[in-house]
Amino acid sequence: MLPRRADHVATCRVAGALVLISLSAPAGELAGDVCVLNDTGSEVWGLVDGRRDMASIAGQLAKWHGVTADAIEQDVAATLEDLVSGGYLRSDAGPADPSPP
Amino acid sequence: MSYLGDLMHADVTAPAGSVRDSDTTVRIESTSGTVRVSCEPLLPSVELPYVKSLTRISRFSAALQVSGYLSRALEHAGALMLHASFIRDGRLGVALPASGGTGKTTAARRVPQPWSALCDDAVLIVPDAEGSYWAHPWPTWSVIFNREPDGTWPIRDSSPVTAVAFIGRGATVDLRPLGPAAAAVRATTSAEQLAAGRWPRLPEDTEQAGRVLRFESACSLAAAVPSFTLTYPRHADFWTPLRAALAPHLQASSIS
Repeated sequence: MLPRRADHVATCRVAGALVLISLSAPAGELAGDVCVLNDTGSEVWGLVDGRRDMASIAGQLAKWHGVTADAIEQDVAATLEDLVSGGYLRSDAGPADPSPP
Repeated sequence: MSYLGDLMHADVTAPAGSVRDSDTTVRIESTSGTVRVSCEPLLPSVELPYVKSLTRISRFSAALQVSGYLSRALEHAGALMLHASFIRDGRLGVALPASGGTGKTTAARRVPQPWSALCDDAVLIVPDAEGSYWAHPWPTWSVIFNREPDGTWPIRDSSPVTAVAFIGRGATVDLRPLGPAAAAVRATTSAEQLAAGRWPRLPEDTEQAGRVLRFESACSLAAAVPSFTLTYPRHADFWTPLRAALAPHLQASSIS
């Protein structure tokens, strides 16, 4: 899974918390969901850059928090899935296989 | 556009009127077949079909759309329109956002003296240079359309915004503080409820930019002004607990 931020998502810091809004709805309809990320969610969001895959994001978070990547991979995966299902992230298949057919 | 001026209790004069904010001028020009509204370079101008015979529907539609354009222009000055009634008592002012049919108008009608209602359906929240927020009333278009009494409010009237209380029905009176992030979410939703039904439609990129502005303004408001959730039975006294909860905030703002 290679997550990248969806187009038309705006973010704002409010009293330390990260608030996201999906702006993908067409004019005349309510804007999409608005959500607040917890600390871990904010860190995950900050690491999503379209180049890191899930393992890489978990590895970086593990380094920051002094734990093993295995210990947090499940949480990171769940957070990414939530953000994808909410329309805040897109999930690409990952880099194309460079080997010839 | 004197009709719109009447609805807003403001000087909006034809054929070439303007409504000025400190940084924003909206020009309204009326010709034989159209009303042209512009606020360049912030917004693209629009021309609204306008039937000179002044049928009631035509007049209402033109006023509604010009006000929609005005509210978009004001968003560029940091204003945020909430789907809310607003009640006040002296320097105490509380926005009461709620979805349609969930008690905004009833709340505004029920508050006893010395409380009064600033408006009952839409309120324009505007920040000042000192970081305080002020509420201005906005017409209650559904009431005006249905020719019921009231529905017009003097938009130049204002009240300090002491708090935002998101109201709803409940079995008992229940007032709870709401964290800034959660308040930002709910304020954004309230603003989008109004914006979704607003005419005229502008180009999609302009509409999207407006959404971002509203979102940022909602976040700023939520960070600066205390917010609550307030549920109560239809006929309960909600204003007494509200005043008690806000007394410390009012004292703090008086000191500052």
